[in-house]
Amino acid sequence: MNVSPRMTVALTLILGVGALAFLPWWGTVFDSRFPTSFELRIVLRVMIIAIVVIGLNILVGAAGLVSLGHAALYGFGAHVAALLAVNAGLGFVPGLIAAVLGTAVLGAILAYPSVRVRGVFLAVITIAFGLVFVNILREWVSFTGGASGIPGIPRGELFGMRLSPAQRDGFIYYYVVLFFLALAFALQYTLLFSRYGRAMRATSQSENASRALGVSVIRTRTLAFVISAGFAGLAGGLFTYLSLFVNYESFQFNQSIQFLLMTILGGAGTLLGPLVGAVTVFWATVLLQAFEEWQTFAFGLMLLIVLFAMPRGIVGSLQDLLARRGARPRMRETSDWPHWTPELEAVIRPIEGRPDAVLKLEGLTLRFGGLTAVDNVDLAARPGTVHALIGPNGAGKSSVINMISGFYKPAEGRILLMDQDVAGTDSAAMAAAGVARTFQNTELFGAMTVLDNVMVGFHSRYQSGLLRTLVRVPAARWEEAKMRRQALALLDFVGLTDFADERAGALPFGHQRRLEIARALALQPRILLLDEPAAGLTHGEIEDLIRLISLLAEKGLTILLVEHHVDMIMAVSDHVTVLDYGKVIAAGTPRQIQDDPRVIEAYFGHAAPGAEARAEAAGGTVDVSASAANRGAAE
Amino acid sequence: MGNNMQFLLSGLSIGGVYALVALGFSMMWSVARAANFTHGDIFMLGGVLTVAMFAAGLPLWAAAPLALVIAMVAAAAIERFLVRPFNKEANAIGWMLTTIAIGVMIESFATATYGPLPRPLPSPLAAEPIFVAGAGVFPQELLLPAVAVLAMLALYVFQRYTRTGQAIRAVATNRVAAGLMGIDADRITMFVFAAAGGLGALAGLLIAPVIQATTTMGLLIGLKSFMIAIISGITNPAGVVAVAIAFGVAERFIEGYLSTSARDAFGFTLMILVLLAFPQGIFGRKEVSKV
Repeated sequence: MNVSPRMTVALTLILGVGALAFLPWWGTVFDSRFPTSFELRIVLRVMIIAIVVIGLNILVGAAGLVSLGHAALYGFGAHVAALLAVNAGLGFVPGLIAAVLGTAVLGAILAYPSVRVRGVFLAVITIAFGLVFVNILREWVSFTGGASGIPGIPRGELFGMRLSPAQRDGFIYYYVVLFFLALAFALQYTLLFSRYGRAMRATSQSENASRALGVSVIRTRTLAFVISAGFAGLAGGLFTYLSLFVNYESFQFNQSIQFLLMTILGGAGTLLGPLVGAVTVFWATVLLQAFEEWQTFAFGLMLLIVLFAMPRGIVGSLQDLLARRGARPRMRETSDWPHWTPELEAVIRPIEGRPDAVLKLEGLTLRFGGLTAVDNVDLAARPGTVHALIGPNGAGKSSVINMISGFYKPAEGRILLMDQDVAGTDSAAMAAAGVARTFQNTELFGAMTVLDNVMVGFHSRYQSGLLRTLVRVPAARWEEAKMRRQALALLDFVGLTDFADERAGALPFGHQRRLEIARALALQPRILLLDEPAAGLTHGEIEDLIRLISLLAEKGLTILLVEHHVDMIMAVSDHVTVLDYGKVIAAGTPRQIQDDPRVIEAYFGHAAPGAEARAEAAGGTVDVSASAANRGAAE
Repeated sequence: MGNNMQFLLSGLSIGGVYALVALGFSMMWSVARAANFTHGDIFMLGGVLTVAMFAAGLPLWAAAPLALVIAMVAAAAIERFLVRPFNKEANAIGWMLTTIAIGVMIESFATATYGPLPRPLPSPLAAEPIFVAGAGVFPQELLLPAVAVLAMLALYVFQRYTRTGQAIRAVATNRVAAGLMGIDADRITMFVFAAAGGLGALAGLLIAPVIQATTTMGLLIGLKSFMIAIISGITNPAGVVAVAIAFGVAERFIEGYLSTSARDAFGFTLMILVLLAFPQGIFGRKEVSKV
């Protein structure tokens, strides 16, 4: 049995909202005392908390970051709404907007400096913020009232209706909160299943691959936290207009831990997890009340048990169970590749204009401390050609690739992409500008599907911004469908169509290489950098790869190829540059290079006068990497 | 003038606490790229266990070392069972959650058994204040920054000149390569966590006679120390100790001239700003991410 996320959302919204909408009238319809106004208030509280947890779920489940300050963000939203209502007479709607925006801005201030270094540091910053926030609320009595808090917040009004949850007011506030919960739930879905959600998951799995695909890790993580903080602010504002009184007690560190527990217990990254988690933990709180001082202990213990026994949470574990029961094991079909289809014309296109070189390196130099890894390298890759970059191990080939793709900053020299100097540009920006690359050790988003891996590659090509994506305006839906078609075409191109919904990490090695190439092509690159694409492939796969590279060049793509495999270099490259100890020692056509004494010396050393003859005799099939490895061993 | 001297001296004392706890974070982070998030609770255990065992009739000379040993065993167990299994992949967050969970448990367990109130610990060095330029201070207080600096120097010598110390540096530099050279990286990591726990607990039992030990003293100290470690460049022990002591002194001055809440607000804002200006920390070097 497989329930699509779309169906989950639709069903939950219809059934859940329906049931919750009916709940207040249960007593009237069935003539019972249930639910009392006290019980309704509890449901209201849980709904508000669920909004916080939905926000936290986006942060933890998608972006893989931890916040231990969400109670404080929730409290911040509550205090913004409360202070504006009491001191400035602001009404419900503007107060709520201020709470959301204010908390989101605060989120940006907290997140940006910390996620720049390491995602983990965000957790430290958020706890610290939480503690300081409560301290300030407690001590700054003249502004926040200290322990006596801010009382006397006027009840909100909307279109002349009193926003009260009482029956005589038609439970109107109850429905307001329900509306926002449904909205939050729907937004969670549209976000997680959009390019932004994919980007968040991508950054949590491989920072390098994300950057190489034009996804800025810092921006994506900051965005995740800002959105998450916005949800907390919204919930805070709603809380203020429910309780009409705020003080620091509801927003302490323990509450942050509870929010986190709700997220993890429900199932981080799942759609229903936040709802299940919020209800379960809230219910547990009521039960644990009897334990008094041991209550906190029990929460710690619960969190620990969940992490050991059910790391995917209640909903995640159930999903796994359902998937396992419903799975029919089958062989997946690997198709022939490369497989060109007309669909691909839209993705792989010759570059506009006729520049004499797509990429030009001028005097490129890189130093690690005292070591010059790349020394004054010049190179020009002409449009629609394959330019090979070869050299013994440690010659600086990968360093050149890393500089072109923005991972390393060159010490000197220029990198001209379409005649524009881009040296030192950040890697994500380089990718967006059309420099695509693969990695020597494949870097896939292992827990994401094969299709989603390619979809991440399209990230920088979308036109629809965050708002349009979240609201799913027709243009955004159309765009998503178009990208999906192109992604499937790319999978078809490398023969992986049948694997589209498989986890990328479960692919055999050769298929991972193919996927990485398809993903890089999704950037619609001006130049494709392949870093030892043949390493680890079987003989047959290498022949397919050779055909793929030739085909791409024929279609007008420019390729810079780092490779050891001589057959492949001879077969596909139009031009070869040879590096040794970071310097260009030869450049020319494959033929010229093969006979160049300097190249032979670099690979075989001085004591190999017969090397040239041997290489000739073997028809040029000497495996250069093996010889280079020998040299490395001899040193 | 007397006031300023007072602020300086007590600032040095609290700075010494931060330094010892932050040094532990630095050590753990270097070898594991993770840490016991509630290292502050190990610090708390150092003080609280000493007080509890002393109250139970053990002489101080036995209670203090025993508390240290228990804290170190706890820290090692946390590494073995809560950090290691949850720190398998890059960007793992499991270890953060498990150590926070155990921290919450330790703290609430301690509060339930030891009591929520601070309890004093007698110490020969905290009986008579000495006077420096008109400011009264217990010798015990001055012990802390001295111990912190000594611990940092000892760590340096240990890592430089002993086999185990060199193994620690190897693991910190490249875990896989260290493993290939026959170093048991897991055991080294556990050892480092235990040692870090020992330093934290030492700070706890040394400060206990001055501030009285409570079960809640770990959270804030632990957290601030982690932040101090981050902003000073977490893998640089000398930088961590220097920044920690300076931070302690700065805190006391702000508290003295303004207020306690101003102290925390300033401290926090300062840390955010420092992180903005120096993403790798003040004394940190950029980790070259191998692609």
